[in-house]
Amino acid sequence: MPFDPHFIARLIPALLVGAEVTVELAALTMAICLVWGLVVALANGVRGPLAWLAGGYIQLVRNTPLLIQLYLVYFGFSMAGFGLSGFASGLLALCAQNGGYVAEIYRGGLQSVSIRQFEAGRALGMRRWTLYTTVILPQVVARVVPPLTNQSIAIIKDTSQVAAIAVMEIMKITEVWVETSANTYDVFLGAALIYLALTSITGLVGKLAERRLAFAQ
Amino acid sequence: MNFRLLFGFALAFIAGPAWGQESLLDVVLKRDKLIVATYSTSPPLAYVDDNGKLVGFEIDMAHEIAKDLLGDPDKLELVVVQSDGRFPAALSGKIDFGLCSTTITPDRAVRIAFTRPYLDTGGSVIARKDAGIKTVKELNDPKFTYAILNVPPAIARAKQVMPEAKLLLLDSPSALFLAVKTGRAQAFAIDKPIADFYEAENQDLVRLDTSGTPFAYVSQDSIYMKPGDFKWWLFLDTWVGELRSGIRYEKYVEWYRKWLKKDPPPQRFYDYNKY
Repeated sequence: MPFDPHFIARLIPALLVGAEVTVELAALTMAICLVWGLVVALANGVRGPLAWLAGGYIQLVRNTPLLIQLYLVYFGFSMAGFGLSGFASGLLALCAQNGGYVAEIYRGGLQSVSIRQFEAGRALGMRRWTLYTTVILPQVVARVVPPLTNQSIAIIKDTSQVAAIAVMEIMKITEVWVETSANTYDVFLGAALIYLALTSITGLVGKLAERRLAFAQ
Repeated sequence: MNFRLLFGFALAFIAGPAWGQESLLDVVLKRDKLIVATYSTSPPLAYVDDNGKLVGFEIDMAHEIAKDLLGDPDKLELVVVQSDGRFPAALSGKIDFGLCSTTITPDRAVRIAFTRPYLDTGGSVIARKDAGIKTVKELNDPKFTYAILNVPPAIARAKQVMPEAKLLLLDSPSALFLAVKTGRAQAFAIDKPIADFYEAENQDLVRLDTSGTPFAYVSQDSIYMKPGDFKWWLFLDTWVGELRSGIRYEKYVEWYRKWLKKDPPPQRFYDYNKY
């Protein structure tokens, strides 16, 4: 029967082992994407072939399913003779896809600052560096925090797809427990609760960051 | 009339319909269609053939059950499930029963009802020829990666026989096959009938010798359903019993030869003509 408390008590510690892998994977993905997304956004901002490259990359990764990217990296690279581990393949695919999204978030943030502020800064004789660090970027950072929080939550949920390439994160352990016990409801419920806890914490951190940066608005 | 008797009748009348829900057997007959969960990636039991049709040993079984129940093998809806969706499909009542190469395990029997088994299976291990090994025991080496389904018998055997090898847990036979074909893993374990199929179809793969290991033991595949419906379970269990050792044995022989390319276990373990 569903809601067997003894069963759930045995289940949770097993899922928490997977949660460690999920957190590692999601945190690394987010950290890498913050930098990689900026590189892509900047490349996309300049005119010329670099922008085409960045634009093409964003289109490619954003418009194909993560699961297919995972399979391509995991099985495809292996066929080509340089197989990455499941974790590394998962990290690569997650970063590739989410890097595209984060780049778009940065672009949105930059474009949201009125062109008049650039003109006003220059009219006041501010140097480019000062203009960016004291006027433009504080506003951009404050504006990209909410969508970045969203993206972090999406990443945490996306990590569940990495189960398909044999990474022992929450979802994989969930599958093993479902197979073993046939107690699907309790196992999925337990997994959902752990994901909910992880995403709620992320959301909370995002909210705190937002409040901290509110002065810039 | 005796008041107590009257009360008894009244109680029987009220309690009667409340005893339990209608059996699925009656529901299926009334609906005039049977709904069965199957796999689509586990040849030769249930897979999609070159024409895009779902075929296999288990698919033939499902059609035959529909024929026995409703007089027409095509009064059947096949619902393709993944391994983690097969039990909730039954428990939630979306399907009437499942025919998904499902091994009976005591853990599962706590929450799911099984008929008697329709197929003996066991683990078989298939390796790439270029791995240069012949026995399962040789696979117990950290330099080898070994792909298995994330199911309890496979995990238990792997931990017992090859604790040194790296494990790769995947969720379908075709993913295991892909892992070995692409070189992600050097070997994979799968139910014997499926292994027979892959071995016959692929020259670059080889069956490993499993003698003297738990792989040599038999496990049993069975039809599963939501527990608690005696009438429905009894029908299906009787059906499987007749298939394996009774009046439908002829069909069993036919399907065994067609899909597994060999004869099934005998109808009786003794010589019937002698007694």
